[in-house]
Amino acid sequence: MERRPVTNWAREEEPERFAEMVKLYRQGKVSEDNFRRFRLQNGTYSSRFQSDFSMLRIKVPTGEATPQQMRKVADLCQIFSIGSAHVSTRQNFQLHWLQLDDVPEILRELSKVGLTSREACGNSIRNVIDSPLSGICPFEHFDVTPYAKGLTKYFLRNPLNQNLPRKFKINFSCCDQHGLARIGDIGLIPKVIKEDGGERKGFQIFLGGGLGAGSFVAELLEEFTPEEDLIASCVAVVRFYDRSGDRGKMHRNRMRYLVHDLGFEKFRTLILDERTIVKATMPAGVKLELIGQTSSFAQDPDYTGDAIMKGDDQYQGWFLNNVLPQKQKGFSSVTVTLPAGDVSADQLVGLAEICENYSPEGVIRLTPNQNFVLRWVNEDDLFEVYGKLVGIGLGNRGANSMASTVGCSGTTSCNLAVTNSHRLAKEIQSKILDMNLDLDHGLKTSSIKISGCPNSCGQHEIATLGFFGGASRVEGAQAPTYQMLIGGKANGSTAGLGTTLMRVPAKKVLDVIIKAIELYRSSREEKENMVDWMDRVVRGDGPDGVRNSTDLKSHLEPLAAIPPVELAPEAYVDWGNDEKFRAKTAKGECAA
Amino acid sequence: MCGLSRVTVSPQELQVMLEKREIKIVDGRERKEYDKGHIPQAISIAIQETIQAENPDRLTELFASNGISRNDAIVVYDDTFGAYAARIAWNLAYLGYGNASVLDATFSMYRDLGYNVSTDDSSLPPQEAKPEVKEDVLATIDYVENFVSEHKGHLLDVRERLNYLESHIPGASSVPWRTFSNNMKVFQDPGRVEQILTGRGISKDDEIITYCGGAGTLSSLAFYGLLLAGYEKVRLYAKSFIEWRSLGRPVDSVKDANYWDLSAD
Repeated sequence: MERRPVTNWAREEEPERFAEMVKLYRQGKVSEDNFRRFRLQNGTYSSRFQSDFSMLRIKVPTGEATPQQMRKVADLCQIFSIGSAHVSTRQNFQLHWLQLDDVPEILRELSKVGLTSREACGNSIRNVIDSPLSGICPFEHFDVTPYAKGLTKYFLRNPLNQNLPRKFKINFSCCDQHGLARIGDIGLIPKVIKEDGGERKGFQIFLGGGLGAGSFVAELLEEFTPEEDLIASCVAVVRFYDRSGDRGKMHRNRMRYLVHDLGFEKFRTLILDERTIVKATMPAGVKLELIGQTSSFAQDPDYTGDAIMKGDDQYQGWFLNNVLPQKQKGFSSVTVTLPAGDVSADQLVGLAEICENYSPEGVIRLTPNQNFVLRWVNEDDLFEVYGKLVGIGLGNRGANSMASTVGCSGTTSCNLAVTNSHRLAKEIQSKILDMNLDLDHGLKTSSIKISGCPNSCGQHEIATLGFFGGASRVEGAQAPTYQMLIGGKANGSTAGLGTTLMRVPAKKVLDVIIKAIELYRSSREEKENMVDWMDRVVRGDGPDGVRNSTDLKSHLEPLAAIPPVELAPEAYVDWGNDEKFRAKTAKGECAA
Repeated sequence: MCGLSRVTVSPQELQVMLEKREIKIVDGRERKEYDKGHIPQAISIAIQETIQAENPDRLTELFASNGISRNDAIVVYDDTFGAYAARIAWNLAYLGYGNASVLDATFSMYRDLGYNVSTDDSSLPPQEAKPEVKEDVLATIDYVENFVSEHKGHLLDVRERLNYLESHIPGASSVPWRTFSNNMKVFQDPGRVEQILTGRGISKDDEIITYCGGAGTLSSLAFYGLLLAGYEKVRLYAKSFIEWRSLGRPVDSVKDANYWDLSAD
């Protein structure tokens, strides 16, 4: 196999600078605030209430990681962390509960394999995400990956985005059916138009999306943005936001609020004007550098195509939701189902080897659903690959279905978390797989997402069933509860935010989910999937007995009662705890 | 301070020593594993035996009856990742056997490198010996308490990070044992260990005590890893966290965070 050139995103001097800053901080020569801003600029959060412990977010542009990088992360998580790493919703690796003083050494080691944590946190342009199917998706107009990487390179360490009003997120989709383009500050979908007898590559650019206390879906800048205007368009948006974002109100100064306050049409006009200025004043040499080649491999001449026939029920069940045929005949992608994105050191090493042995592309992709995707797998090898995955404990079914529940960190490590969303997500995944619900085709396109607070790092507003954590008082006692939302989605050019349904105690979320699925299964039309069924219900056009949200709520509410603490002490204890629940939060670090 | 003439021996170096028959080799595995095949000339002293012989007199008798005398050069190995071997070697150091080192390979690694193994019963004639305890490699519970309250140096908890977060001896720092371990050998490169410890503000002039959960195996590995990296002022809190807890001493915990739920295991 050819060695695929690896982009080096790191700078050698940055770990040393970090070491210096930690030293000065320990000596009291750098203020708390300045140190915090510095370490956030270098991808380092403090872990829940502990200033000596940190979370390091390793930037993985477009989510693409090499086997060498995976082995390095495995090594680091064993020596410096908890023996596991996390795949995040922005396709990054996260190492939790590190000692702050170890971070420089970790950064040194990461730079040896071309990885950085620069601008993974803080008021900067965060990791540019890219649909993990880019390059293999049957619906894509062209592979955006080289563009996404090129844009990453352009903005990384660029003075333009070192001190934005708040964080900034750029999301590439592979096509108009997939991906999170409509919930980014900037979202991009590749588009090819015919012009003058030829073809022109470009993008549909969406602006002003994002989830949180106030959530908005991004809107289209213009019908078509040619590829040569990509940098200028993005620079225009970032510059405008940099100038106009409200630096006084940290809790409400993401770009989407600016867009909302101005009104999209006005914002759009201002951006187009800004872009004109940018183009007129941009140095002539500035061009987007396309990084990396789109993979292309010839089909195996001995290909038989009998992948589906092989194997027992276990394999078939896994095949159903973890294998997706690529547009390139004879190849499929394999999605690896992780429990809320957590992967052990041994599993990382095992996956690195599987990647080397079964994917000519030689890289693996982290996904926004907190999973991995291995692409370009020869379909004749699928059964073998399944066996290898089972061998390292990564043979779970349900990757591209409702079973793959997304859960933010929650109280495992975040200052803002009210509830243990992370653990709940894992419990839900186990339950759905145990009940074989993932084998129901109707649940393939549905999703469940859990956040530990309203800030939506778990992206609960774009889930079929979304939940965000809070605390409720019942006769003076505090109980961990979730607000349930229904009918959210984000798939390429389509996006809609979920609507609030009801409050559910933390320990009853599983029962409510199962009941909702039961209601769907008992009343669906033939071949109707749960996403469409839920849309009908939200519209007020649902089946008999579940005609609208109120009906749905009336079915679920009995399960969601919170008896007084003497009668149901369990309801007053959150997942993963023995003691009575007490909401505890501190100032968040997501805002520098 | 420890007076060990060498901390570790590589498999390659061992070949020369084997040829010259100038060392005694201790196999710390279970007897039945030893019987299946062992490094030539190695004698079997299973770690379980050393744990059972809890006091210096009985320990010395155990070693002596197996043919080991005070002036011998000794190399210890096991088939875990070196933790058992390090514990046995530490016992020897504690008893004043100044020349006990740890092989920088597990038995499996050694065998996979292609070296000969033997099934001979290589027992040695018993020796006379009296313990000459070297107290300066041991930390008792009182020593540890005093060490922390007087801010003397660094108390290193070498268990997994999650265990440390859950509870640890107040004043201890978390340096997981893998810091000192290497997948391809036993010991991490000394340069890397030094780099990590320097980052943590631990210097070679500082006194260090290592402890782990129970058997003192992980902490022994760390003990030897520190020596190899040039940190000579090291003691082992041999009775470990389990003693600290059972004697009701206070512990520190990181509270209000569900870090266990981040584990993929």
